Amino acid sequence: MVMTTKNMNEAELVREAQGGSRRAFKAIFDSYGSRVFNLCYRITGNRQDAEDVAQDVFVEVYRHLGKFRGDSSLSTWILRIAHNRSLNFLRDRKPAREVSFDTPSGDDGVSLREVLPGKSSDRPDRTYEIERNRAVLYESIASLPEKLQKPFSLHKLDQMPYEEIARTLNLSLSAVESRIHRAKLRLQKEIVKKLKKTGENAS
Amino acid sequence: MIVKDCKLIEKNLADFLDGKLSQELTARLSHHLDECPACRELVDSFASVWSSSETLEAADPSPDMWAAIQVRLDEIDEKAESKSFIGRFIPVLQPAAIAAAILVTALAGYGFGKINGSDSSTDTAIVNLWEEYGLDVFDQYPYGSVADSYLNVQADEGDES
Repeated sequence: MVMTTKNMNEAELVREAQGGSRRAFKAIFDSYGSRVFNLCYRITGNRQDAEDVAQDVFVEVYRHLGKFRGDSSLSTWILRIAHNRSLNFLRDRKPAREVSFDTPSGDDGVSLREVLPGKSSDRPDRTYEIERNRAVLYESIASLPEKLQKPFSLHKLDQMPYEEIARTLNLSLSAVESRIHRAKLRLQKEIVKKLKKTGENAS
Repeated sequence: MIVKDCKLIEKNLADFLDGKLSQELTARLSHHLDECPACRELVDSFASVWSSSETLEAADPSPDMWAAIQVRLDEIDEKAESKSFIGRFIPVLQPAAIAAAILVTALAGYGFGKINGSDSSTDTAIVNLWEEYGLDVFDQYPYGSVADSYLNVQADEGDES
């Protein structure tokens, strides 16, 4: 039987890719590209950012594939890189000084309605409201300190169980629970503050 | 009681929506929401934000994503290739590079001594170095450079003769 990338098993694909086969690496990308992209999308909340981060993930996989020894499954290894990259992206993203709905914000005097893509007249209000709410949530998460942001993001944005978060971040289960709880308290304060401000601006 | 429950709602919004509170507290806050329109509005607005990450639908990456990744992989491969090309010459280049570095340092040291008014033994050393290594091919030399110093030495010797 002629070995094509289609009928190779994963271990064989990894060996071929480690040996320099771009076709084998493409096959790995085809297997995991969508999953990695969606993970990045859930954590970053934005398509363009998700694509940028997903690209970085596969470049890192390519660079370090030679070191992959099969101690964990390939999917675990790739998704761990994806989590790290996405969380680092969130950490490094500067939170907006102000997320307001219609009133000008920040030094450039641009409102949220103006920075979101598309003209407001073209978008149904419901879609716009969803985007606004998502922006408030993600900007609030971006303002968390890294220690709280990482476990909370994995829990809230990637729906990861507490035990898996503990393993991924090398923390005890109680540390994960405590940090997620503290993150929630900070976030609800931050979000209520923004909501009250929006309410004041609207009236 | 109402004000106290309003504060309780605000402090427990996330856990209330996530179903993490005790049955007793959940019941108390639910009852309060039936009676307090302001808290009802706050909980509704907060819930819209809190659940907004769940409204992200699964998506496919753009068709260009692989092409963009390929470009970066090609750059990585090119860099790796040129590193290994240069690496082949290191066993030959390294001793030559070290010898050149020693020579330049020595010349710079002697030249600096000359600029700062060194004695004739230094002048002789410069001349010897230049003649030994055949480094008398500089046509252009900045003022104060080693070559300039050497040529000044030669000019001085010419004046004396």
